[in-house]
Amino acid sequence: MKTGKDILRLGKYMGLLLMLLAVSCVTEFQPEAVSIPPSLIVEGQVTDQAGPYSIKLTRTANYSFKSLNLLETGAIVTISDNLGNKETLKETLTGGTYETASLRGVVGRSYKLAIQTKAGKRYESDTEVLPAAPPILKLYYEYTKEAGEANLTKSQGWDVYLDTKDPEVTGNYYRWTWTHFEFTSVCFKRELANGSLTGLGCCSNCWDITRCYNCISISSDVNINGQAISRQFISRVPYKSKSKYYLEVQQQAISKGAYNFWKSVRQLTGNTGGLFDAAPSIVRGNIHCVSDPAEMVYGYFGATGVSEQYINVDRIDGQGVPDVDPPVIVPVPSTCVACENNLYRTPNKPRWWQF
Amino acid sequence: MRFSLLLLFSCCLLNGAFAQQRTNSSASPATFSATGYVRDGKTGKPIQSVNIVVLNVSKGYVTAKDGFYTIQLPPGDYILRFSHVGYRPKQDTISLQKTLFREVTMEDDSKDLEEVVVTSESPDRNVRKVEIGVSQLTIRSIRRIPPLMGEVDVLRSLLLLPGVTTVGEGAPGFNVRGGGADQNLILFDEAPVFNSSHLMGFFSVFNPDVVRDVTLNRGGVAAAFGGRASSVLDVKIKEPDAQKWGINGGIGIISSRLGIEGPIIKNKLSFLLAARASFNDFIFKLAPPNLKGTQANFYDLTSKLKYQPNEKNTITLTGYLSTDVFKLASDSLSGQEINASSTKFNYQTMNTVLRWNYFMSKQLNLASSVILSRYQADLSSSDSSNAFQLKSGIWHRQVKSDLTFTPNEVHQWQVGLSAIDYLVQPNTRIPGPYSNVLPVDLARERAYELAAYIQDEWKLNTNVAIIAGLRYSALLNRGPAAVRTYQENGPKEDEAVTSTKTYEAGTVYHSAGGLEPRLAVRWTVGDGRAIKAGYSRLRQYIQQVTNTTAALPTSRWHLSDMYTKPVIADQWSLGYFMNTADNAIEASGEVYYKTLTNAIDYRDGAELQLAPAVETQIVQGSGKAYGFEGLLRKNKGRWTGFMSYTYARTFLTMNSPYVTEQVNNGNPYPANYDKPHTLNILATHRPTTWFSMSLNFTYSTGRPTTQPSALARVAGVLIPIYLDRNQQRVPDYHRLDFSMTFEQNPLKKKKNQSSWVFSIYNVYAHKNAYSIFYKLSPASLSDAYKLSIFGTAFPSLTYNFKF
Repeated sequence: MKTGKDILRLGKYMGLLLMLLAVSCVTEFQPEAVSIPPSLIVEGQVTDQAGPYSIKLTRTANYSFKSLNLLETGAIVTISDNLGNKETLKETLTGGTYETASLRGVVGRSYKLAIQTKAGKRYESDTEVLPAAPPILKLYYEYTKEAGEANLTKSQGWDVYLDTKDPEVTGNYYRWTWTHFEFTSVCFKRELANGSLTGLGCCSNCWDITRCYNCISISSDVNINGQAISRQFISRVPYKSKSKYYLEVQQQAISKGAYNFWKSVRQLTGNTGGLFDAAPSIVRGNIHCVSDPAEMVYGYFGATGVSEQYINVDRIDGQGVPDVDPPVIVPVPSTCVACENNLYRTPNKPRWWQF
Repeated sequence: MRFSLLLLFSCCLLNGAFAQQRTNSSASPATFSATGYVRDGKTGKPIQSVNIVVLNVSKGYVTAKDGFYTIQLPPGDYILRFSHVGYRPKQDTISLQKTLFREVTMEDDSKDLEEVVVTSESPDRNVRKVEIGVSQLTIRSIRRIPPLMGEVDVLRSLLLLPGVTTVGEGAPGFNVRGGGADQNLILFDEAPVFNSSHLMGFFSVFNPDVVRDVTLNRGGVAAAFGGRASSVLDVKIKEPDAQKWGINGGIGIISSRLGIEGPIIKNKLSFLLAARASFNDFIFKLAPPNLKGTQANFYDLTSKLKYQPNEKNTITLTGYLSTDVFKLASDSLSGQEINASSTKFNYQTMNTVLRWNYFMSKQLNLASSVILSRYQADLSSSDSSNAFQLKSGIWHRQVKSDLTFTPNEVHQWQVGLSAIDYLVQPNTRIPGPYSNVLPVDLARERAYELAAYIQDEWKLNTNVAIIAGLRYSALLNRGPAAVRTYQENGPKEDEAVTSTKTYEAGTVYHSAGGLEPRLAVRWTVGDGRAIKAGYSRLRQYIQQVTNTTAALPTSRWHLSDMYTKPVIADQWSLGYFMNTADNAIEASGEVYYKTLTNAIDYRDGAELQLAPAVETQIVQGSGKAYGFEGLLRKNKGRWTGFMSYTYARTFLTMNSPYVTEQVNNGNPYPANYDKPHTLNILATHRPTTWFSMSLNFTYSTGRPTTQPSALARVAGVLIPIYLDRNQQRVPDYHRLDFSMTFEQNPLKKKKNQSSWVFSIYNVYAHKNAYSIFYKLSPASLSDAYKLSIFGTAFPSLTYNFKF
């Protein structure tokens, strides 16, 4: 909700204002160590797009930049729907991630996740109904210069917006995500002692992938039911090149539970700890332990309707020289490196790539 | 000389003989009365609460609100000692053989070296008065405290008193003996102030130029007061000068002040007008570009008109207006999630008080008031597609009347009635012209708060005195209203509503009320030593509900109803008070224990602003607070000052059969403002009449905070996991301040007076924690950060003048 967001932001502003009024400062701080036994974290969703869908199981870690979330391997993970279809997921080679083979989500059906860990504990999710996502009506961008930014190049950018139409019925919840693909010829790079970059070329076509995980862009129709959702901000494209910027935008229809989950996550991650921040609280997901209801389980199993659209942002109008990344010198001759398919890079051509 | 002495002596003898005769005769009166007014020698203003001690018989009297005193004594010669804070004590010898009328004038003591610091009533009030847990500060003593950014601040000075804390420097409001910031009844010339802060909490709304004195009742609240559970802060505006016109003002970094006062008709009709405004926008013009559009401005205007047609009647009209505009410009730094480019807070207090004091006879005084108080706050964003304005407000309309009856010197009775009409507009959201935001209009809350009380101050004998009071208060909720019914055996949630009943306008659909007994006992155990005890019950029917550590100006106020029960506070206190060395040294120790019934806290993940029913977002439980407050003070000499130490704990317990209505699984947890140890030291050195310097040191335990206990990564997002509320603490707080005041030499009489105040806040630049926050960044080797807002020494200079 709008106002809640504003309050969140106020904490940051208060900090800024005070910085001026007085001299405020942020310093590192060593808090007393707090630790709890590792609890299960579940993430993953079924969508109405083609699979495979994956469920990832991990364990909570101590709150520290050093800690790692350990993978939960060897579990039996099944997804069932309200028509009695059931599929047991297969664990991938890296472990902790479980994938479907044939399941495909259908709008209107409800889905449920069941887990049995190696230690024999059983967990279940609430049933989630897969809602339909309305189509993205328009995806567009506007060139703006941020007032105040001294650096002309950095002040320029293209704000990408989305228009859609909320259905007449109430109870629609949305989440927007974006993925940017950029063609790359360098698949390995490293910094030399003098600060310049050296690297190795890719053996195949390769695209770098950029996402913003912490940008939790969600909305509900509580405030706008049945009306157009217009100028929903998606992302700001930086002026780092004169070439076109390829962006895929996903509009997700999520359940009320998922919306609340992401809303509290956003509240927590946006928290600056100020006196005007909403007090932190437990993020409740939709998974529970069957044998011990008091055991805390984190994360969310979602059933999500998806509609997708792409846009190429033309950056030819940018003023001055773009803020290009430092060049990577590939020595000739040199070997090539395979383009791995992972979260940050892919050898597969993006869906709407035209160049 | 010799002749007059002899004459006086013989007179006494004669009178003594005559008196002897008179008392022997049964038909003649046993006592005579001496009456009169005590006035300020310079301005002619009557002085209230002057302590009059008849030295040779050890009896005490106090002047009434209009400076009038009555002393009843058998015929004889007496030495009277008049004393009042801010005035040079005065002794007077009277020969009481018939009813006497005697005007007394007292001289300002500002030129004296016997400076009285901070809580300073007349020298021995500490041990003489019956109330326990009452502190009075005059504006002169407040001015001696090193100010923050040159702003003399009434509320900030309160923080030096034992038992008063805050959740952070620069936070709005204050906490008294384990009560929330909304549990303080803040009265500005009788009108309640719902938001006492300018600039979101940095400065208080009271213009120091118009404040006469400030009284904080944290222990024994008199039966005349009610409606809030923790304390009563009574800020009194000074009386306009009835003799001559004057202008005063000051120039500071944050705000500048200008005031005018004087007689329209000499000694009959006088007027006061004072304005204060901030001119700090220029700071933002020098600021980094993304803050250039930030606006933070306030102004306040105080006026008082006093009409005194005769000795018996006094009519005053007080007006007060305070406005704050706080606009945050770009949000380019706040991440990509928001598309609003500015947020504006706008809040305003408007108060009007019409008061009539009718001094019927020396035994009866009737004071009646009509009070209008309005607080409005709005939050707006002007971006076309998401533009909205969120408005809220409280209207408080009150009539009250207090009758004081003093039949003799043993009893002082007080009875009174009060009726308040509340209208609370929780939040109304108005979309902008091209906005997609839907309008929201939450139902108004309406109620009458009625109260009646009776109180007697009874001097049982020379050693024991009590103040016993009984107050009855009630809240009557009235329509139009739609009242929900929830499923039994389940938490109150929007989903659990079974039916909604609507009530017509004016229908009283719910009422709650009860008795509030108050008792204070003073037992003088020796010369300058007293033991005091007190009990009080206070009921609160209007609460501010918030899920932030400090309340926002837009935080919602909510009236009690069938689902939100009134907060009830019961407090027991006991203290020992001692004055020695001719009242130069004062020492006291107080302990208290307090229970809170129906204390309010928010549920996990509560959204209060636009919730149609507050009961679905809050929980009520119990609370307890206890502590010790010690104070040592030196009132006389070139060095004056005090030291206070407070140990205080506050715990809340929110339990319920339903998980969503529990906090910390129903176990007790420390309240946001639970700060066990607090130490304050203030020392003032005044080597000459035109120069003084003060040092102020403060230390307190850090406030509770909630630290993440684990970390989860879901869909690439790192999520901190919080379990129990308020289980950790921010680091301890300590700070030293310094100030110097240069005044004109009072010996060189000049028409215009001016002074310079130079101060340094946080002398040793300690980086105190305003807050602790947790952020994981691979670029940093830490995951917790401390935000310090006054992380360096902060000097300031203020110029004050008076013509």
